[in-house]
Amino acid sequence: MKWKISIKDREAITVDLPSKITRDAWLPVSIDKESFHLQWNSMLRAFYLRDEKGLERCVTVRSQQLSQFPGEAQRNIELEVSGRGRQLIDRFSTTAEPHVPGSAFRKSADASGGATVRSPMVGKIISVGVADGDTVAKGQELLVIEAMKMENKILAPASGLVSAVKAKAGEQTGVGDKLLLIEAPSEDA
Amino acid sequence: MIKNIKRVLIANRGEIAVRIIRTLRELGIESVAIYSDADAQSAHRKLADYAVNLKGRSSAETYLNMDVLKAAIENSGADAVHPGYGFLSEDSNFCQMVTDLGCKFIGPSVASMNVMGNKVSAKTLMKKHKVPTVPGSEGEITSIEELKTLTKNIGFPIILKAAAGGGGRGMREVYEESQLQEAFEACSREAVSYFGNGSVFAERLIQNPRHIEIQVLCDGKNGVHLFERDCSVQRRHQKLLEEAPSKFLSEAKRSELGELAVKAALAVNYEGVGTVEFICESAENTYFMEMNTRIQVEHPVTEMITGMDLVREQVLVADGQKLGFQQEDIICRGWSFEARINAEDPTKDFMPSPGKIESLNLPQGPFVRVDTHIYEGYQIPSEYDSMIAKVITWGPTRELAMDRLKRALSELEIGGITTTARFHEAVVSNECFRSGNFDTDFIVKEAENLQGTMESWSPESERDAALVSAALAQTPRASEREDLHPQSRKTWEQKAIAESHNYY
Repeated sequence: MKWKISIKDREAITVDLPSKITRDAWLPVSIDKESFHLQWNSMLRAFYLRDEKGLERCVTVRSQQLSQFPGEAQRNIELEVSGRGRQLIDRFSTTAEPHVPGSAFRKSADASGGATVRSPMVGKIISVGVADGDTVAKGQELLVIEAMKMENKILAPASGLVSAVKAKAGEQTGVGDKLLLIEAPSEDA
Repeated sequence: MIKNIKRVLIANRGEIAVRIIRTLRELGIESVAIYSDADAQSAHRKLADYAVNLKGRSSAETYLNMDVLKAAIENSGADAVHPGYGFLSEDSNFCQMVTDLGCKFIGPSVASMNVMGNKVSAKTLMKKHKVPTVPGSEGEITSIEELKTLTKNIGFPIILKAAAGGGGRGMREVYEESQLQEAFEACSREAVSYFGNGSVFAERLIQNPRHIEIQVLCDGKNGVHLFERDCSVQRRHQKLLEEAPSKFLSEAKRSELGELAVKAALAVNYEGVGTVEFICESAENTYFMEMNTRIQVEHPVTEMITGMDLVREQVLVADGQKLGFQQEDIICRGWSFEARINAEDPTKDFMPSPGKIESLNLPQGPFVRVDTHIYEGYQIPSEYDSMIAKVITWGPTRELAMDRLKRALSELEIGGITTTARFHEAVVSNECFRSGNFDTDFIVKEAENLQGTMESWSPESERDAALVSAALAQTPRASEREDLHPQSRKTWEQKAIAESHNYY
């Protein structure tokens, strides 16, 4: 199964995994078309990558938190991994979505292709700075949510046209609630 | 070896309860754990010889409830009580209650605790014994006129403090005269509502000091110091990373502060271990701030550089024994660090991250010590503090101890929650911290660099992260998370923000 992994504003990485990940077995995988063999060692709780010469490299996961909102194929993952030199552990927020050419999933994750903006926290919407039809730039302030006596600015994850604004000032919001939609600007704009 | 104490009840939970039970076992003393309903799966219950259940889940119903503690002590047959840190460890009423039951309180007497617990009386006593204190009011301030006269002498900025306050509460900084009236009234009001005592005093505000504390050990008549700890890495008055000794002190200053600390402790005939906190404006100007009359969270760094078990010494003094050594017998060797691992996300403003420990791999190996109560499968109760482990390392030099801490942290795996490990890695990689040239403003000043380090990664790791993400995404409900009840998660977050672990 092919996955498209987005890390911040980097170009998405395509990972091709066998449809079933069998523990402790060496499985063929490819990352951006480069091929490896992968083992998920369940006892050591570590991933092993083996190159064609048979040299194995260990990738450990310090912590992981996976979240998926209902109705979306996209999974958001908070991850701390260590795989090179093992000196420092690297922390990532990644988004994984099935890589199905031409599928409806495509628009949700790609930063340039529009996005659904969801509430990251439980709180109260203090103000909404945009309305349907507005054009926003990536990083622009969309609205402010108050949680635990702190005001949190919600910024635009992508540039585009604002639509389906559901957020209203003064209303309570929960984690994962849809606030608004940002549609990708049309190609010729 | 031990003459009188046979069974000790530990009036605490978590990591420190485990720590105390270990020493008691080495001494051949029986241990009694107390545990709330929320702590029924806690490691300290398992490790102790006996255990008493306290009904309820909140701290107020259990570990802070004097009535149920009294019953627990009576029923347990304990002849001594160790209070640990936090909870009732510095409450002289608790000390009195234990003493009235005919039990030995492992710590100072009610009288010494009372003097040191009140900032005004402690400061007055220190002045009498010629221990330098921060320039400020002579005792309490009762009127705004009095305060105005004082500021003419010591200038601005000043800090107003509630005499009975502590843990960073009931304090107000004043930078100019126009704010004086309002600040004084507000501080008095807060002092009444938080601490039930409206007394307020004022002193010069020392901006961005170093926080240095001296560990002392006394038997009521004689005392020694066990050098200093530097706790300058703080966030909103909460310590995060501690070290001993401090790079800030010269050899001469070290002995001078040590002697002053012992003098301060013996001024109240102190018994057991205690910590005298100094506020350091510069290497020359150091002032007495307060004395903590308990074992502290960061005590292991002192144990690492001196080779002494502080809990053991506490128990021996409580057993009625004299100190078996003199100042010259205590030698400071090398350097030690302690990183507090909290269930908090350091990249999201230290937002609490409660949950279940789904997988666990604790650091091991040369010169690494981990004090913790967590294990794989443990659900962190949302009722209590978010500190889940302490990673301590030792090295012959500061650099080596730091590199060992970095190495130890790289071995730490805690699945299911986010911890402050990432923050500590950023700190020990930070130039300013490594140079040793930092103060209590370190986290604020270096915020951008620290955040940058926490969120950055080596480009080669991107593909590893992508691979792991894909594997996690594909494993259906990979972790089979038993999510916390949203209400309980919310409660913990709110409580943690409100209290910000004020006890330590």
